[in-house]
Amino acid sequence: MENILETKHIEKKYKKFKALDGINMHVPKKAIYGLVGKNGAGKTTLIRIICGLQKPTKGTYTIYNTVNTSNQITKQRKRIGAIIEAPSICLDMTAEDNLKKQCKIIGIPDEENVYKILKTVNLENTGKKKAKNFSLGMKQRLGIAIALVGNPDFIILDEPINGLDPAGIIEVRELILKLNKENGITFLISSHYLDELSKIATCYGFMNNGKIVKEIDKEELEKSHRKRIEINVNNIKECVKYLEENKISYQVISDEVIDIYEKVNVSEIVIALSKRDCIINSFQEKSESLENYYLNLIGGADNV
Amino acid sequence: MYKLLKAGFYRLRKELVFKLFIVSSIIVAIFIAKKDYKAWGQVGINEAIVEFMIYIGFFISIFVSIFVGKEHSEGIIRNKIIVRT
Repeated sequence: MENILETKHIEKKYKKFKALDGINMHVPKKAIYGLVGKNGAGKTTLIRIICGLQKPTKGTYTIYNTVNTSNQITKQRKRIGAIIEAPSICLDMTAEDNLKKQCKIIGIPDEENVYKILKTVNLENTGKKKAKNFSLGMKQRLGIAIALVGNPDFIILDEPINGLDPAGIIEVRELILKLNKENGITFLISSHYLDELSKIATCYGFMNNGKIVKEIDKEELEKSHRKRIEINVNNIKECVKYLEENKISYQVISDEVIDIYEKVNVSEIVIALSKRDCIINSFQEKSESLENYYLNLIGGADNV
Repeated sequence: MYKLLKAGFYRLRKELVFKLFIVSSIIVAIFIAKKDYKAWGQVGINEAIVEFMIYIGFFISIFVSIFVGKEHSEGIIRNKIIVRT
């Protein structure tokens, strides 16, 4: 698959401190790439470098097959929309005026574009309401609208759902999915909300201490997730005895719940346990969350 | 550069502080002109112009610091660098 963005051994040093340490990242076309990492992992630094706000100490990156040292990189960057840290909006202007101003900055005729974009982000009815009176979700959507001016093929969002309420999170999520599916826009999203990210992302890059620990796509991630069976029993002692005797790996979660980490014959377990006066109340197959996967990847919860 | 200026003027047009300072500058100008007209002969043309410049400088220094600070804190300057016109 064609990659829109590729980074090769990118390093960023602040005196002796290495913020980025040999980053190799590949963002495929039309993907929603989730950049996952704890605070200080280097996500924002990487995004700032890609947007041209900072220069890497070492290494190169290519956007649409144009290397960053080329003169053409500025031209390619015009195909990128970005929100870094916070949406760049003039708080004392209306949504429409903000978009008109962005059109003027880019140098494209406004009228038609502005109304189309406002409709896309569901802000067409804000009228004369100034951006400072918008809710956080509306501000974030306006930020995405500003990034959409100039019809970009690639949008970079740094922590787009930080501080949003559940309704706002859903609004932003739906908007990202809509833009990805209908307009074929590629997204690079950095976020701490792993569960939210797992609902939209098609590729993941896990960062830790300035390095990409792993790059994986959704299908691979689902395959590598450790499946577990959560059973709720009334006699936990007998259940543990049975599992020990049959050498099945398990973990006791509470007085009634046990997690089994192996593929087991369900009917066999049910019959065997019922013979031991142990009744199974519920039986659920669950897969490991993205959070657990990330924690395992960076060396367990102790590392956080 | 032309595009940035165009966008900058567009924002200025919508800026309340800018409008207030324009109005206050006009009021000060009228006031000085009236005062100098009355005392014409004692005040030379150079003095009249320089006196007004002091007020203009005062308004500009306050306005520019507010305006540029606001642009910076709202992330507008960062956005302009990313777009790179």
